Amino acid sequence: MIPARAAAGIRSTRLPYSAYKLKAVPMRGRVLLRILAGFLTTVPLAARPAAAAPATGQPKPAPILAAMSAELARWQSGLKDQPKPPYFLSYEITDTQGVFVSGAFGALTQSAENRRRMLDVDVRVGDYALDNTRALRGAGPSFLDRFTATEVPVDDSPDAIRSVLWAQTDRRYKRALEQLTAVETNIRVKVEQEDKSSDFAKEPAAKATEPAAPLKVDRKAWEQRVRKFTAPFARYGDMYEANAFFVASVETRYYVNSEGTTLQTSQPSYRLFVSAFTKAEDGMELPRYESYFAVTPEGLPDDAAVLKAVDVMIADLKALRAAPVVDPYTGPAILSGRAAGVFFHEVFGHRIEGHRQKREEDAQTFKKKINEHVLPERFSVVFDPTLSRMGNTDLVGAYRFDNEGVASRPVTVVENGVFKSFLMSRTPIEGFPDSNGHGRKQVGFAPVARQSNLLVRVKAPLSHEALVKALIDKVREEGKPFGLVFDDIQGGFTLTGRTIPNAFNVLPVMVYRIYPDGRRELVRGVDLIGTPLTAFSKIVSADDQVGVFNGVCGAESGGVPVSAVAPGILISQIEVQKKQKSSERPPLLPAPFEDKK
Amino acid sequence: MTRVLLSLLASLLLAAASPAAAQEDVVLRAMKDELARSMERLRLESLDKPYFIAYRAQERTGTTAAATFGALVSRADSPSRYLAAEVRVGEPKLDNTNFLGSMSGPSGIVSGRGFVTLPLEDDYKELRRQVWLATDAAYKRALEDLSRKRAAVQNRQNSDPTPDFAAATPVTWTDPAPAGRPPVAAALETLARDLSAPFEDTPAVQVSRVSVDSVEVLTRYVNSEGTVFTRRTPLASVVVTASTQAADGLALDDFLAAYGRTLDGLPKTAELLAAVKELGTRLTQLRSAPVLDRYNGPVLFEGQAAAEVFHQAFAALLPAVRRPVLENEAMGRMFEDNPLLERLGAKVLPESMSLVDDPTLAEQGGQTLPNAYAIDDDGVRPTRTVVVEKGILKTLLTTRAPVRGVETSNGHRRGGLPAPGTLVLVDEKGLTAEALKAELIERARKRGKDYGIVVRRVAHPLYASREGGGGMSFGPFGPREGAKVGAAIVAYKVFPDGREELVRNLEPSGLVAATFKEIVASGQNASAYTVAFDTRNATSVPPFLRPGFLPGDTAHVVVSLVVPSLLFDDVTLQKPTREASKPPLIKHPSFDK
Repeated sequence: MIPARAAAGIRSTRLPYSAYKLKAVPMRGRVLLRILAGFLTTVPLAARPAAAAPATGQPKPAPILAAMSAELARWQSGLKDQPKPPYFLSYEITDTQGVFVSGAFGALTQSAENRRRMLDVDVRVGDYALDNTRALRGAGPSFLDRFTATEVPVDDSPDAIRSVLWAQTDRRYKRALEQLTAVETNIRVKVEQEDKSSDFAKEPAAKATEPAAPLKVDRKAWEQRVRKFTAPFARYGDMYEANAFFVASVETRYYVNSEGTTLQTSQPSYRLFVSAFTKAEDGMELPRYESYFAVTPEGLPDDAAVLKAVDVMIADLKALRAAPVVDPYTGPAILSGRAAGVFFHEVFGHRIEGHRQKREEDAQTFKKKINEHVLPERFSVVFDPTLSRMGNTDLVGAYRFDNEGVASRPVTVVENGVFKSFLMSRTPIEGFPDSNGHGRKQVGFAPVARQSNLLVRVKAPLSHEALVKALIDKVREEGKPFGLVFDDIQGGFTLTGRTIPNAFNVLPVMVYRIYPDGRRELVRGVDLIGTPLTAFSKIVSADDQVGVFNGVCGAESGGVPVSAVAPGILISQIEVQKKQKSSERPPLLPAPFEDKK
Repeated sequence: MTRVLLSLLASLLLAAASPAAAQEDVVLRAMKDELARSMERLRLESLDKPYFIAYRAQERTGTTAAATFGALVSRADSPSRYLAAEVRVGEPKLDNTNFLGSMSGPSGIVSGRGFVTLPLEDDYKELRRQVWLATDAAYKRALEDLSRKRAAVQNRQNSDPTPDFAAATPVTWTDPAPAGRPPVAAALETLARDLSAPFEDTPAVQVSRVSVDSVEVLTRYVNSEGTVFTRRTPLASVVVTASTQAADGLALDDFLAAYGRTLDGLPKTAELLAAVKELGTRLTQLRSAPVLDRYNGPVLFEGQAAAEVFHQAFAALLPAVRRPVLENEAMGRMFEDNPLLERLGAKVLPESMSLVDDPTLAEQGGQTLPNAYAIDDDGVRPTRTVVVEKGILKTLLTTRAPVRGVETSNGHRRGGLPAPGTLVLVDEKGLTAEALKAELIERARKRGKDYGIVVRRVAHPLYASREGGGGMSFGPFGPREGAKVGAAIVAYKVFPDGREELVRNLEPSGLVAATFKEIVASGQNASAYTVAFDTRNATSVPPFLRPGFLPGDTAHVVVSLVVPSLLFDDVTLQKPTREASKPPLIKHPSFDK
């Protein structure tokens, strides 16, 4: 699912109930919580060892890396006489330094800085073909092993850091031995697995050292800005929330493994998120969001541009309150570039994450589709984490190395309409023995194949006007009263299991009816739903207006930043359902400052 | 309205009297103004009007720091301001509270949370907006709860006739603004680093952590009866946890907790350092101590151990919480009545013993009690409460939510739930330490034992250092006996000649509130023991489902206990039956030379 700024794939193969619950909760509250949680726990942050790494010249590896390598070597030799020594051991320490400033209705609500280092340990026993990480078939998810991060000192004290590594390695190794025994028994008592690929892919050792990026934030200035950006909403008594969040962070990752990989990477990010919601008379909550992402503070828009966007938000919210509600409908529709990006992310992206093809409870929609046509011939889909910018927009799904120490690279998944490849972590599947650098995770989770920058490329696109004309033609042709245009979007979610409907849901914010005479009318209260293969087969054509959606995608390995870049697309038939709606009426008393009594 | 104005006037007068508070508090003004408007006009069509509204705003400032092995792990200082609205509809006899609907949870504009985030700055217009939204949501939820509760009660017989809300006298109270400046974050970091350093020289300890906190919670409260208060609750703490394993794998955990109102109120750094070193020494010695499979017989709990067993097995049941009216009676199994409720008027301690709770007690035997408070979270001023008189249970600790048998508040609402202030247990027939030990030996001899057991330290459930250990508890809600008393960390065999021999890994079994009337002797001259209150037993409706819940309500409540050494004639102590993890496969890196 993609809450707000936030693209999230609630991929809920194993947790249908949680997905259901998420859907049942009003979007808005959850979005904010998610963002807070997301940013307070996972945010990229900056390492103080900045001092050790001048911006120019050859960056030196931080002392923390030496401590990690030394402890790793000590464990390797210390365990070699055990009956089942680990065949693979890795440490990843994520150093996050961040600034968080938020305001509501012109007043400051939070202003904080934080710094933390979290450790993830991967200990594997057995061998590449069969190890302790293999999923137990017929068993539910193991919450015991789901979140395992441990705090590590932020001071560069090798002794203190190594003492944490030591305690965790011991614990994880013992746990790995227990897991391996369970796996070995499970294999004996169950029928043979369909997918006979190995449990772990061999990858070449990588070495890279990036200087730790500095965190460049004038906190006082941002406190002033979040006030300024939310002040216009304060004029209205029917705006029930109006927030601006600014999050600046630098995330420096230190990674070592027993195959010889040593990495130090540093990723700054600067995000601004403005959200507001109002309510229609019938109780429906109507949200609007604007989000901005950049890898430098200068990359964010200036105040005038944000304030202009705020004015548009206010106008949109007023218009939405007055807009009619759409009844369930099937018919042709256009998705704007951003909406199409989220559509591809949910409908397609989550279904080509490699490890899912191995799990027998997953629907594996595309597993047998290699070299088959899945899209019109002019369409190609590429995941490119090496691409850091699209036009004037930084892409949040870019990275140099994934969380398994594998270098990133572009992966063409659909070439001229033909399905070519899955996104691969170091968990192989049949026919795909190697990683393609998409093993990703949030701190504390085990990595799985996740999306990066999704790029939908279309040859010979139409102009936007031509696409709209094609929509109107289709509406006339089918005798429909109108077509729909999905212009802005807050996110979506999808379910890829077998026991629950294999479906997706995209949550639009700004939707218009287009009548046969070309008239446009804003409507509210619809969600775009469907099943993946049907929806994909109805894609007709695209325009040349490429949109970028930057968000945070949530799935079993936690929240990871992703981008989706797509042109506007015309779909010959979509289905919309009524949005789940709050039954609570607007406040009984007028806003205090509008109370004339 | 008039009443509100009067109280406003009263509080202004009082504020004027104290120069520190001379300027009017903008947050309080916004709360009062919205309260007046809501009481006058908030009403949904023909449904009940609120008969009571209270706002509680909590402003939290301060710093927390943690360190291990001489290095800083984290520091946080994120100020916050939250406000909760408590709206009651119906009448005190039967209102919307003390009810748990089917687990749908609250809904509405201030959705699931039931509280709002206030701006950190004194922006009157925005403060009013948030108070307005909180009130609106609380009122709507109250209406729904009341109608569902009335429907549920209608079809039931033999319901508890206790009213839902106890009367209280309007009070005005203002704590003066603190003198001096808040501590510099760097001072906390330094203290945390320094106190964690001794473990660099303690090979026996596997994992250790030091947390140093210094926070102040400023609570502002107004209600529709005219109560207005501003209370400042500063609290500084040092919590050190350390753990290791014996050669047989059994876990050995110990802790150190010190509380003061401010950093200056904590013991001196040198004293704390000495205590940390002692903690390391204790664990080192324990590793090589022998184990004892099982012991049944007389046990003397001394000092901290006495206070801790009394705290966990007895004091934890003193808060008076009530079994809520349940929409779905099938949920009834999840809630149990407080076993002490049945014992009001009955003997719960030996006749020579009395128990008093006095939240206003600022000092005990020269020790400052940082947990003292002048007014509780319902705006009730606590007084000295005799809980047990000559062995007979007289009352429980209450808030304005009464329970059967105790229908008025004695000023114990601390956060969402009642909690003690300072509990003082006194035995008229208290013995000297020597006499107690002699009594233990004598009783052991009578039982035909080669030795008796003295316990000197007992674990606390909230100070657990191991991941996955402590804190988590599943099972029914509601006060109940049976949560296990923490392990005896330090215990000795006491032989007839007075010789003592350290034993490790003993856990008390079956030590419950009812056991305390069988205390056979106790000591004199206890000193105060200040700790986080063990709430494992004390919840009824989980706090976050209660109207008027604030995020800070789940924070630990600090209490003090003054409990003499306690001798029981028959206690079971045994080795844990859980499986133990093997000791580390390779040595700690710093000691692998």
